[in-house]
Amino acid sequence: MKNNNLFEGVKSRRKKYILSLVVLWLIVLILFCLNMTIGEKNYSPLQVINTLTGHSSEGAYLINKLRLPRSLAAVFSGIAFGVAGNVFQTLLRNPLASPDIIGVSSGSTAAAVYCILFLNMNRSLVSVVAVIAGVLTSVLIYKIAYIHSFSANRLILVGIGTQALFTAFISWMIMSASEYDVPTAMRWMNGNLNGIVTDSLPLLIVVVISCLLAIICLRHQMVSLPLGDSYATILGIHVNLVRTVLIVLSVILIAFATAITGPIASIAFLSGPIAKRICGHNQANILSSALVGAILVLAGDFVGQHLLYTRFPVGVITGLLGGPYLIYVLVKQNKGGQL
Amino acid sequence: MNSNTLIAKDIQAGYGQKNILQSVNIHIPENKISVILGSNGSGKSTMLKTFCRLMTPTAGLITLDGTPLSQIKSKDIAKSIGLLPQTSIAPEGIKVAELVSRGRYPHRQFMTGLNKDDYKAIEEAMEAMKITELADRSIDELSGGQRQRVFIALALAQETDILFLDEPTTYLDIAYQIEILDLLKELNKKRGTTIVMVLHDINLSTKYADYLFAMKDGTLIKQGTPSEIITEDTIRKIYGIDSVIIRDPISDSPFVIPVSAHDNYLS
Amino acid sequence: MNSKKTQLAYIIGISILILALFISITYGVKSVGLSDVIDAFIDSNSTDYNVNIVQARIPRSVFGLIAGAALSISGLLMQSITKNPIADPSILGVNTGASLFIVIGITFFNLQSKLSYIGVSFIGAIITALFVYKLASAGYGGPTPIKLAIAGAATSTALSSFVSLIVMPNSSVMTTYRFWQIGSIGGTSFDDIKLVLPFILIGIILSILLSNNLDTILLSEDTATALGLNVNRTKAIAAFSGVLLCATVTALAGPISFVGLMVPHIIRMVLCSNHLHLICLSGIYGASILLISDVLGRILGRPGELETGIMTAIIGGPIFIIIIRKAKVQSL
Repeated sequence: MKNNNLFEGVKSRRKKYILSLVVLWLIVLILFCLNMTIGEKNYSPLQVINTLTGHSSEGAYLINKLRLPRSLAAVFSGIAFGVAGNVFQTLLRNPLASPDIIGVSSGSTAAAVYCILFLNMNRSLVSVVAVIAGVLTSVLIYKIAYIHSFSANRLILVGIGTQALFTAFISWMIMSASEYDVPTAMRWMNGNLNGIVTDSLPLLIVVVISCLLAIICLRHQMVSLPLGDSYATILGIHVNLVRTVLIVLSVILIAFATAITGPIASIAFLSGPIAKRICGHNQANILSSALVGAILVLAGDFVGQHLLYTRFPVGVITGLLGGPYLIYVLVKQNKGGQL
Repeated sequence: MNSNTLIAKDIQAGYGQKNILQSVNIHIPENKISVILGSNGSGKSTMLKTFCRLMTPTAGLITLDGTPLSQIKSKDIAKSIGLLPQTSIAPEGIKVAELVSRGRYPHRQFMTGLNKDDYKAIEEAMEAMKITELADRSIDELSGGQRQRVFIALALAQETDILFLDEPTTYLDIAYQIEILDLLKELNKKRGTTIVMVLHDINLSTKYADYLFAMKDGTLIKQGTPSEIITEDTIRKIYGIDSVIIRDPISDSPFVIPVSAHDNYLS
Repeated sequence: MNSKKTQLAYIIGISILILALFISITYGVKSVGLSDVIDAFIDSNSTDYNVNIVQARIPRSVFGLIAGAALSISGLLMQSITKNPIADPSILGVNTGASLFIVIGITFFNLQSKLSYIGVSFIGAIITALFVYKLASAGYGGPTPIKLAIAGAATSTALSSFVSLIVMPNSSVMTTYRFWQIGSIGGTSFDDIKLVLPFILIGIILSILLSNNLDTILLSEDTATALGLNVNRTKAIAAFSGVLLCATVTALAGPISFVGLMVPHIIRMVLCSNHLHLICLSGIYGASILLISDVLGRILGRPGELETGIMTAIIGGPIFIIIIRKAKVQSL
């Protein structure tokens, strides 16, 4: 049948995508197990399960109070950064335009650093302030960039300007603070998973899952937006509404994740492109970038905790990936690809 | 499926304070190929955009089968009116079949994959544009003419009764121009799709169009079949140039030869 | 062209500069009068308290003057080479490149002399500048403003992770670094000025020599080539002096952002695009803006002071955003 020939490619690509999702999911699972079992004291996976289910009390504090929250935070912040980054890159039609580069998280960071250094707030309170500041900053960037109509380029540039402004404030705060508090703030700024408060986790998980589901519902619209506003309108999409909703959802994701783990560098930036590299460009890649995000954070934390001469916050490790990636983009482009 | 009577009454439209369309009345001829002619800045594209609701008229009304566009649900309009914009952006790395399937958006149900109807429409669109063998190619690898056919297929997969095309032949060489226009003519004959195009080439317009609209300074100055309205006088009115009209020896449609200042020709 | 307007711009510029210099010397935690300033110049061995304050402030003001001129000329050169209104050492990530190399130098090679800072800072800056430019020129459309800005921001983010990696486990470097990275002209001495002056002069003289060529390049590179100009060489020399100017200042004062962005832009808006005048006026106004920012930082930050780098960001950030809002969408 003719029909089969034409759509064989489509169907096989679809299968490949689902297969990739399964593989990525397995990797997440394996890394999660690694992070749960290995540490200052190693446990067998069975032991971990027994402890988690309450059948054994061996290492209960370490596993239930330290490793579980840490690993969960890694997974869900990874999902949040990965998905939000991918949405921004898709909407702004630029693989380098992720929220961490265009200033969306800078507001959260500045507010959190201020709270840590000058108000000595505890971590949960810092999170609340960071969420509010992140959302406000994004609204501000969007408002400033919106003149008569939406322009992706203007949004990116205004974001970069805002980012520079906040960076200056952060540097100044770090400088005028007492030396004792600086490492805390520095570590927070780089994104790290130490001392995750168990109380704040359920909220993060609920927010991430609901935003993720909402974004998945909009996937048909999301893949049509890169065709350009005219096409999307012709196809019957309420372009401005869909775009605003997607941006709001992503900003919420970024703000909550940033509030709890700090801005873990490069996750938002890298997840989308890596997911596309693995799974192709034919679907919205929402789930794939979510899984890649989770993998990057879990792996980065594992490397930062156990494999180097001294312990590093996860953000420093993942941030290092940004450099090689940019070089990769450069090499690829020189071979004739395009941005 | 006879939702294809598109009528504009006294529409005005423009950017900001500037009104580009001044009170235009148009009834798009059903199941015909119409071409809008006009010099740069005459309001052709604006008119196309207004019909496709990319711009909202500041005054007047556009109706589809008697109902104002503003009262029809966006997805339902999308089932009746398609457009090939002047410039198309291809998402990087996407395969042709998937790109064409994007045109099915208005027909898709919430949270489901492509169904049988979708596959049929995509297949027909790709066959009509003769791009079935490109299905698994990446859009980045295609030539300009192939790309343009892919984007027309996207609009066809939308299965609309009315199709607008904004300069579909720009940047293409003459062979591709003829190819695309032939494909559109075939589409019009086979499916009875109403086609409205903006074209820059007057002679191609007269060759392919059943009906012409001539625009100048945001108003419609003439309309009719090519033989009716293409006269030396009309050409002077639209473009401000002198010309000689002869008959195309093959199709017998009017053929415009512009007169140059160096031609020593007295009109 | 519009010579009257240009003359006026020079007169106003020089007056503002003199005024700014004067305020910069006299105003501070302890303000002094004009007579003390004059005394300080006449009698360098004076033991009067006020005179000593003035003498301590002079190097800071002079350094601010040099740094402001250098940074804005550097920004101007980068804008002209990339034909891009928003090119600037901080936007292009060049400052972060310089930071990374200085941090590497301090940590692994135990660099201590300021001359060696300038050296590594220059190397880091020029590598980063080339990298960002390459990154932005790939794909179609060449290095458009938007691509340059994103490439710069992304590179900057990536490089700062490397800086954190090196600095974090190393508390002594961290302390030095956090004071350096803020960008300040306080605490500079006459020795510093003597050190940077040759580099700055080379940069400025080279750019003045290039001014005619830059005018031609601005038309279009094809036209410039057709007129017999070696476009690549001109761009290479201009890039060299641009990076030299900003790397030298950055090595000693730390990253001071936005001066190179706003000054040339404003001058271009008001005046013609003759590079000789653009360079001179950028120098004059850049110096004034830096000195004024420094003074404002002292006023707003009382009882301490806000560092110059913070002040230029506070003033420059909004101006950058205004520039973007005024630009046409297509030209971005």
